[in-house]
Amino acid sequence: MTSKQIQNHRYLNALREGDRVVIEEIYRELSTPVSNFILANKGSREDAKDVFQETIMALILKLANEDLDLSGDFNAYFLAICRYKWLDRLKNRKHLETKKSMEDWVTKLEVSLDLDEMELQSLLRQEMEYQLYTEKLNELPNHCKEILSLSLKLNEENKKSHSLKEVAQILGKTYPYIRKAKSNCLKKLKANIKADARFHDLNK
Amino acid sequence: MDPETIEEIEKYLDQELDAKGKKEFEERLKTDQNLADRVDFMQKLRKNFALQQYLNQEQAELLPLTNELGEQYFDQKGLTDSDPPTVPIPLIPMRKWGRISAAAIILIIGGVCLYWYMNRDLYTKDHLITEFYEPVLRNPRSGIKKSLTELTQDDPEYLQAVAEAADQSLNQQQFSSSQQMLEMLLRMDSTNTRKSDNINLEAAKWNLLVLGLLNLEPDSLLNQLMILQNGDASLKYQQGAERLRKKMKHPFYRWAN
Repeated sequence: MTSKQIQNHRYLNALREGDRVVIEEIYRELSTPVSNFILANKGSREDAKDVFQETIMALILKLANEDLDLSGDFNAYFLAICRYKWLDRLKNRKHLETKKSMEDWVTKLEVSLDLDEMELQSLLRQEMEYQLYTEKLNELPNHCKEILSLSLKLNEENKKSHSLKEVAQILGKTYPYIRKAKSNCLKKLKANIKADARFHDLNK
Repeated sequence: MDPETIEEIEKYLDQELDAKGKKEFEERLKTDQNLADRVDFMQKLRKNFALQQYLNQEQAELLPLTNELGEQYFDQKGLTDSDPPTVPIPLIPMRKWGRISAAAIILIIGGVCLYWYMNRDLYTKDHLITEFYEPVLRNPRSGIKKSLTELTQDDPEYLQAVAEAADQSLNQQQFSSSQQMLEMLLRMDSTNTRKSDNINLEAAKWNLLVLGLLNLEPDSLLNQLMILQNGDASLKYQQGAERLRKKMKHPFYRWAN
């Protein structure tokens, strides 16, 4: 294992386990280049803070699903995600005249930018999908949220989703009512998701 | 989505269909795009709900932590977006400190070299001999009618003429000649009863010591100067010995010679 791989493993493990000390190390090391890049490209400190936090969350989401096998440098990977995120935000703001500052910093940091573009895109898509689904789920009426949450929550005993009979029992409703309500709620949720612009981005 | 389809999809995803049912369902997935879309939707819904659960339960402290660190590293009091960025950056960056230190060192070394260059002559042996030499003859040409070559040792003026020659040799930077004259003067004086009040014998001894700069070992000379400084010589020569010792110990003395 090279020293770079050890460092990557250390950072990824810290994110997975919520290790405060190492996560703070990531902030200490990378907040300046991220901030510099965003401030130099029509952004504010608040934007830089948000992008940084979103990048941390995106990495955690990725790590929750699968292992992240980084061939390059963690710092370069992190900065590249921030850059992608910020460029994406700028596109929405119609400010396209960005500078090449991040590449300069990356060069200065003497890290190679041999990032897997597909890997990066997949990570960002996953984050977008998560945000879209959880956001739309939370926008549903309370009774829908209750029914769907219970249906989706895994049963502690058999690690399978709750059956409709179990949901009906927990909520004190009849089975036919829950069955019909669940169907309607899923229909509504699906429609709401499909109506969102992010759904089309995800299906490009 | 009708309830039957939902239940069927959930059974498939929970792997509750038997082998035959699973095969039939997967065959339908290949041809029924609507069904495939619904399965895809349900899979994503389950996956993202599970992620939400994971973040809420197992990473419950993460959001407060990133909020706290975000404030610490991005929201510094008194800073605005037009200020230089974020995390405490020293007013003079470390790289600049390095340059400033290097410039300061070069300036100091340059200053010392310039000072040394301008004062280097003050510490040469020739300069020190000239500076510390004391005239042996109290009143030059007083009572001397002839030059040294015209006189014999029996002439009463001879001693004065030797002293005069010693002083003149030194003025002409002929140090070894001056040294010979001074040695002769002191040798003759010890055997000659015809002393002259015009001759300063203490100055002659002092001058010989100063001329030792040319041929004595520095340590030996410093030692003799120390003895003189602490001995019973006149105050003038005691002070002269102290000053000359200091000059000999100065780094410039070593560099100049």
